Amino acid sequence: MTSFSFDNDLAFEDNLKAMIAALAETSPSMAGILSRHVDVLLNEADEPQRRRNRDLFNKTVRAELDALLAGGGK
Amino acid sequence: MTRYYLTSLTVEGFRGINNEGTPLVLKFRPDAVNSVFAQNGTGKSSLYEALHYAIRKSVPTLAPMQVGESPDRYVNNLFHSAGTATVSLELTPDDGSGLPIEVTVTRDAAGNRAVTATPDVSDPEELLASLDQDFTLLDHRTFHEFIETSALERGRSFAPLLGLSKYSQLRRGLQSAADTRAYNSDFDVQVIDQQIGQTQRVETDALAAFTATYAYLTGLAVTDSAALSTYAGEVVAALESIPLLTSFAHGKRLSELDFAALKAHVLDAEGGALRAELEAQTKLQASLLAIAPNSEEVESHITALEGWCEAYDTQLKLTRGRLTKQLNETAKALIDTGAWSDPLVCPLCGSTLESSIADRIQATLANYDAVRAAYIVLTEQVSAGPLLASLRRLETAPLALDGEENLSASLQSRSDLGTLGPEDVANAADRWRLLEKRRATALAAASSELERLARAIPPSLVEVTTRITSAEQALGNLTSIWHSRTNREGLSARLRLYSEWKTFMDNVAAMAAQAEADLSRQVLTSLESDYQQMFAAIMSVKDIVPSLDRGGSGEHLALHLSEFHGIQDVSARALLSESFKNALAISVFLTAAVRHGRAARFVVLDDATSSFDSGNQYQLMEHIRGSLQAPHRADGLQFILLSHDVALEKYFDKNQTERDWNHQKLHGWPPISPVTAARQDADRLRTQAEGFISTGQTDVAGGLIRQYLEFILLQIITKLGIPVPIDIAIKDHARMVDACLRAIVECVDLHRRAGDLILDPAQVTALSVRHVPALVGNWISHYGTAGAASFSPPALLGVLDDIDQIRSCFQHEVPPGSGSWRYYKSLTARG
Repeated sequence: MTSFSFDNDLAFEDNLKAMIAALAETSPSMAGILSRHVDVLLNEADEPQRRRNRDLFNKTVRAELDALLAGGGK
Repeated sequence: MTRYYLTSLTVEGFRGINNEGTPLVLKFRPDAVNSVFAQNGTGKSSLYEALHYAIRKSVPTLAPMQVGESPDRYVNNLFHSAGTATVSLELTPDDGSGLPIEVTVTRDAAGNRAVTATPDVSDPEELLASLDQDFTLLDHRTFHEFIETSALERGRSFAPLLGLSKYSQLRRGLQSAADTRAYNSDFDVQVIDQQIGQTQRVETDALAAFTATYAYLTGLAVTDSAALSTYAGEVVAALESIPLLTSFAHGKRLSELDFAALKAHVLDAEGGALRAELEAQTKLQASLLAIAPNSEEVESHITALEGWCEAYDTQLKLTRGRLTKQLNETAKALIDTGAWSDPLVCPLCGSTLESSIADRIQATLANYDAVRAAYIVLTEQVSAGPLLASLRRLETAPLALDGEENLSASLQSRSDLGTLGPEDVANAADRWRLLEKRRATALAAASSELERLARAIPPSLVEVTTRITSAEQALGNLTSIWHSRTNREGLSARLRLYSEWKTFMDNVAAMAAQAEADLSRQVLTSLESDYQQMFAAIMSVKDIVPSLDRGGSGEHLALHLSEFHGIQDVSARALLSESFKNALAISVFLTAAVRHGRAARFVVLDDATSSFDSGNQYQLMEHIRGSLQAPHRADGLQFILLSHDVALEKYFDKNQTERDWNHQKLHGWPPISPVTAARQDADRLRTQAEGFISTGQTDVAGGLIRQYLEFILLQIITKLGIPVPIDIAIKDHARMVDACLRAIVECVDLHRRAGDLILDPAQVTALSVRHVPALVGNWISHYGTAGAASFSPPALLGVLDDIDQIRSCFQHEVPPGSGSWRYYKSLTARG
C-alpha cells in the first residue's frame, strides 16, 4: 500500500489532488483515469445511490481502459 | 466563507401552524441565546419541522410513515384554505458583509416545492443545502442515536460533524469501487475468461482438423503449432508438385491461391457431371467433419448442466415467490430504520416469534440470493459450455428439418432474459443428440457416395480434386486458428489491464482509508479536552471522563469512559444513565460544531435536554451562554432553543431581562387558530389578562393572572436575592406562588426584626397588612379550588392591582420625583 497522509490544514480538494499526485508517481495512467472520474464517487449518497455511483464509475473507467487498449486513451 | 445567523423565521400553512394571512414571525438575535417556550400542542414541533423541511427537504415526524398512510398529505396545514405552506428564513451574514437575505420555501397543495430568495442570492436551494450540517438541527433523537448506534455507524455519521464528510465519502466511494464482486461483474471478468476459453477450444478443434488435412496432403505430422506459416507453405508445395496445378501454385502463398480457378481447371481437364458431384460431396463431407463435436466432452457437459439445474431447482423450492421476497425486503427496510423496537414480534401480524425477526428475514432473503447465484452459475455454464456452441454449429448445418425450432437461439435468448429452466437444458441436450445422430448418418452417406464417385472417375483426377478441396479446408483451418489466437491475445490484454486497474484501486482504497482514519484521529484528539470539559461542567462530575476513539484504519468510532469512578476504560453505553448519555452527546456535538465553522452559524436545539434534571439543564444553558454563544466566545455560534419544559421556562423567564438572552413564548391553538409569538414580559401578561376580563372571559384571565403573579414574585426574588426553598428550583409548579410569597414575607420579617430592612415603613405596612393578606384571601387560597372559576371581573382587577402594589413595595424612585422606579438591590441595600 502506498503511504500517504491527508493534511488537516488543506482543503479536501487539495488533499485529493495530493493523493492522486502521489498515486501518479507509480501509476500515471491509472491515476489519470481516477482523477477524471473520482467526482462520481464523492456525491453524498445512501447505500443504493452509492452502488449506482459505483456502477457509473466502473462503466466510465472501463470505457477509458478499453480506449487505452485501442490506442486512443487520454 | 460567509457564515449566516438565522435572524428570523416566518411560517404559514405548515403542519400545525395555520396562520392564514398572518404568518407566525419569530425574530432571533445573533448576540443572544434565543429561547422559545411553548406548551404542548402550541406549535413548537411544527417550527422545528418547518426548518427541517426548508433545509433538509423532509419532515422527520412523517418520514417513518408508510406510503399507504399518505405522509405527504400532512405536510401542509389541513385547515389552510389555499393548502399552501410557506417557510421563510432571514439569514444575516456574520461578517457584516451585506444585508440580511431572505430565502422562502413554498410547498403547494400538490406537494411541489419551490425556493425563492432575495435577488442577490444566485442559487437559493444551494444556499439552503450549505446550511444542512449535522449540528444545525439537533433534537434528542440525534443524541440518542449517537450513543446507541453501532461504532461503525457512529464513525460514519460523525464524520460530517468533524468536517470530514468528504473524506468519509471518498473512503466509502473508493471502497465501493474496489469491491471485488462489483469489479468482476462490471468488468465482465468471468465472461472474458469464458471467451478466452472458447477461443482456445476453437483453436484446438481447428488445429486438429488442420493436422489431419496436412498429414493427408504432405504425409507429415504437425509438431510445432507456432510454425503454421511454414506448414502453409508445405501445403502449397504439395499442390505445386501436381503437374496439372504447378503453374497455378508456383510462387504463391496458400491464402493467395484461387481455389475456384484450380477446380475449374481440373473440370476442364476431364469435364463431366460426376466431377461436380464429387466436389459437392467432398465439400459436404468436409463441412460435416468440421462441425463434428467432441461428443464425450459435450455429454460430460450435459451431465454437469443437469447437476446445476438440480442445484438451482433445489434452491428455488426453498423460496416462495416474488411477493414473499418483496414482503421480506419491505420488512427488512422497516427493521433497518430502527423504528421496529421489538425483534420478537412480527411487524405484519403482530404474533410473537421464537427468534429475531431480523434473523428470519435475513435467512429468507439469503434463500433468494442463493437462487440467484445458482441461476447465474447455470446460465454462465450454458453460455460458455460446449453444448450450446456445438448445438449452434449443428443447427447452422442443413441437419434440421422444416418446422424444427432453432433451439440454440432460444436457449441463449432465455438465458439472457432470465427465464432459463431445467426443461430448456433437457430439450437442448435432446436436440443436440438428435442432430449429432443425423450428422453422423449424413457423413456416412457422403463418404459412401464419395467412394462410389471415386470408382466412376479416373483415380488420378479424383485425387487431385480431393487435394484441392483439402488444401482449401486447410486454409480455412489456419484462418480459424489465426483468428482465435488474435482474439485471445486481445481478450487477455484487456483482462490484464482490468486486473491492473483492480490492483490500483485496492491500493487506493486502502491508502485513503488509512489516511482518513489518521486524519479523523487527529481531529478527535484536538476536540477531546473541550468536550470532556463541557461534559464535566454540565454534569458537575470530575471522575467520569468520556472518550472517543478511532482505532486502526476502520471507520469505527468507539465511545467509552477513560475514567469511571477510578476504573479505567469501560463502556459509556453500559454505565451511563440517560441524562449522562445525553450530556455526553451534546458535549461532543456542540464542541465539534463550534470548532468547525460552516455556512450555518446557528444551532437549533429542539427539546434536547428532555432527559436532564433541572440542575443539569441550567448548567448546560449557562455553558451555552457563557462558553459557546457569540459574542461571549469570539467564534461562537448563535443558539436557538425550543422547549416545552416548564422548569426550563422558569429559567428562561429569569434570564429574559438579561442582555444576552432573548426569550419568546408561543400562544395559540393549532392547527386551526393562529399561533403567535411574544416576548414573555409581565406587561404583556397583564394586558392580555385585562383584555379577557373586559370581555367577561374570567376563566381565561385567571390563568394569565396566575402567570403574571408568578412572574412578579420570581422577579422580586431574583432582583433582591431573596433565599427560597429548594423545591422552587425543582419544579414544584403547583405550589410555586404559595412558596414564593411565603419566602418573600418571611425574609422581610427576618430583616425587619434584625433592624436592617431597607423597605420604608409604609411599604412594610402595605405589604404585610394590606396586599399580601388581600392576595392570599382573595386569590391564592381559592385558585386551586373550583371557587376560582366564579371570580367576578372587578375582583380579578383588584387582584391585578394587589400584584402591582406588592411589586412597588420592593422598589424605590430613582431619582426621587422622576417617576422611574427601580428594585432595591437587596432587602438591606438600596442600590
